[in-house]
Amino acid sequence: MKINYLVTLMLITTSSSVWAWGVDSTHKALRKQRASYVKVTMGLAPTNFRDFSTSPLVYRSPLTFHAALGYEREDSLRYTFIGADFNRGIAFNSINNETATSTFYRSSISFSRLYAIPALAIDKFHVKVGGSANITGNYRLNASLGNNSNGQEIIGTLFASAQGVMDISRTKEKNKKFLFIKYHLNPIKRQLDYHLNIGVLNTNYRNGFVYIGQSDLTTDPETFDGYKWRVNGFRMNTSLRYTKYFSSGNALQFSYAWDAYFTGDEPEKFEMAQHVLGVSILFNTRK
Amino acid sequence: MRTVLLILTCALFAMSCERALFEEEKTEVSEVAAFDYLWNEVNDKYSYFEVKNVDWNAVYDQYRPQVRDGISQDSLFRVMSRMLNTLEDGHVNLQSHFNQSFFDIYALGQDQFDWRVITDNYLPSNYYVSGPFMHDFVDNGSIGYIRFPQFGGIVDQKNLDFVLNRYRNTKGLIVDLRENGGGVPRDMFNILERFVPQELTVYYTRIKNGPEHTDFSEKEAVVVSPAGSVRYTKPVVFLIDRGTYSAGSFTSIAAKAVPNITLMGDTTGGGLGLPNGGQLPNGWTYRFSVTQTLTLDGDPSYENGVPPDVRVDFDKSDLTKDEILDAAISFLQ
Repeated sequence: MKINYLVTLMLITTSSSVWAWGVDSTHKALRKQRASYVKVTMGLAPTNFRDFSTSPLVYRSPLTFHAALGYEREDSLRYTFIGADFNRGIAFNSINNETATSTFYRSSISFSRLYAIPALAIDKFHVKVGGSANITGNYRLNASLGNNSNGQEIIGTLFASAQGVMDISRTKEKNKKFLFIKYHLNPIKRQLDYHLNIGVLNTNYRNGFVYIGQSDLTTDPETFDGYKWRVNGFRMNTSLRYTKYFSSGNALQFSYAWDAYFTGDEPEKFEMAQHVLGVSILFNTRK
Repeated sequence: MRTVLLILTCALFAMSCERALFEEEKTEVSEVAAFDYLWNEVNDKYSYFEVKNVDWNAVYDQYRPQVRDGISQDSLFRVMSRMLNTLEDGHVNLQSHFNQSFFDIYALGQDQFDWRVITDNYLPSNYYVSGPFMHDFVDNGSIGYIRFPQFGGIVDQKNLDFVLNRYRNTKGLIVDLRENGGGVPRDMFNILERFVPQELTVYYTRIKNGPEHTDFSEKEAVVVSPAGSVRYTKPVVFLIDRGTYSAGSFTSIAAKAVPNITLMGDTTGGGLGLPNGGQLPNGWTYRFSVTQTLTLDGDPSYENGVPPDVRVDFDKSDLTKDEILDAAISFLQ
């Protein structure tokens, strides 16, 4: 009886170990198979903003330079991204024969982790959900605003994120003809995805009541004079991306991303929106 | 294909949310709206209503009826300028592409300074110019005279070392701040650090932190400590007048706390509120004071001018001498 008990216990333990080893090895195998890329992006990012603390007018920069660098890992089960971007532009406001310009710099770092929802997978379409975090810093220089010419703030956001991914690969060779031109299309891996981030914790580090601080009148000037962290406002961003994978494992991606946020009324509202038209090269790091 | 269309539709929908998220943009602004915007900004953020004894609501009642939609831009500008000038503050301006309003601080008193009188009658023709300082010996080499015309943010430690070292053996030093309209406060500290005998609280400052006229932060002490390789602790006279403004007035109020510095001449023009900057809905820009500077006993009234320790007036009928400079020389002898 005692021997039977021991044998049973050994079998359970062994099978549990095997099961555990199996799960672990599956995870490891998946992790090894998961495509990972270093992503380099360049683009144009038309931007508009309005800082009610200094002006009720909207400033627009149609030709904002955009550059980004990121690391992305993705398969049908999980999506991970960490990256940073930089933007520079000259925004204008022109009204009533008065023109003012604001040179601005904006950079951000972001992190996303999303997991697939098997119940929402249909054929070649699947959905992932998860969370993202982003910290964006803005700096503006608008000489027409006198002592308030330097504008700066930090926007920190935690998002609820969702991503819909559509596999639009061509799986078979095709011979086509356009007018009198015949051409041949090879199988190719392609993907279209849409990413939505909705801010659930919206914070900002912004100026005090009168924008400028008084530390310049002391012997201890401060960069963020009178600034406070506040939890208010809202941020939302989306991106639509088309990715074409090459036989080398690298990929080319075209994207349109939209990001918009506003802070709360204390001290006064700040609004900013950016539309990024980007071209990215994704270097496969798992060749 | 349907899924692709769904994704694209979702994308376009979300990306069109911008108008829903942001406040409506007004592309045409009425003259009345511009007037009201400026009045409200000043009402919420200006720092010296009580010191200036200005009833801002009464000012609105006086000037608002003079504005109606459709009046000329020049007329609107003049009404708004007159409204701002009720504050009698040189740090208050309205600016457009065709005009800039200002409050003339020089008109508060008589002219007390003529640089030509000094160069003709007191300084050698080859007086020294060390960065922003014009200087040389006066009174047969017993006293140093330094003209500092502007707080341009270029006060350099090497310039200061040279100047103060040159006059180290004098009986005293005269620093002429008359008609110095101000500039960068950092210059003030660079200069005062050379004169203070020990660490000193020289004034207090506080800033508007709410819309009520009495909403201010806690007062913050401004402390100056001795610094620099060459220092001057013998008697010093700062010459001031109504043209001594902003950073010039900050320097003057600070000098009140320094035992070896005497203020001589006329009351300064004030300007002890740090001005902000902003833009109206019609694109014009403005600025006005948003801080208060307090004396060591908590008095904000020096905004109306820092009084001299010794009052002396310049006599323009005799341009062979500068009575204020003469008084300073006599004081230091």
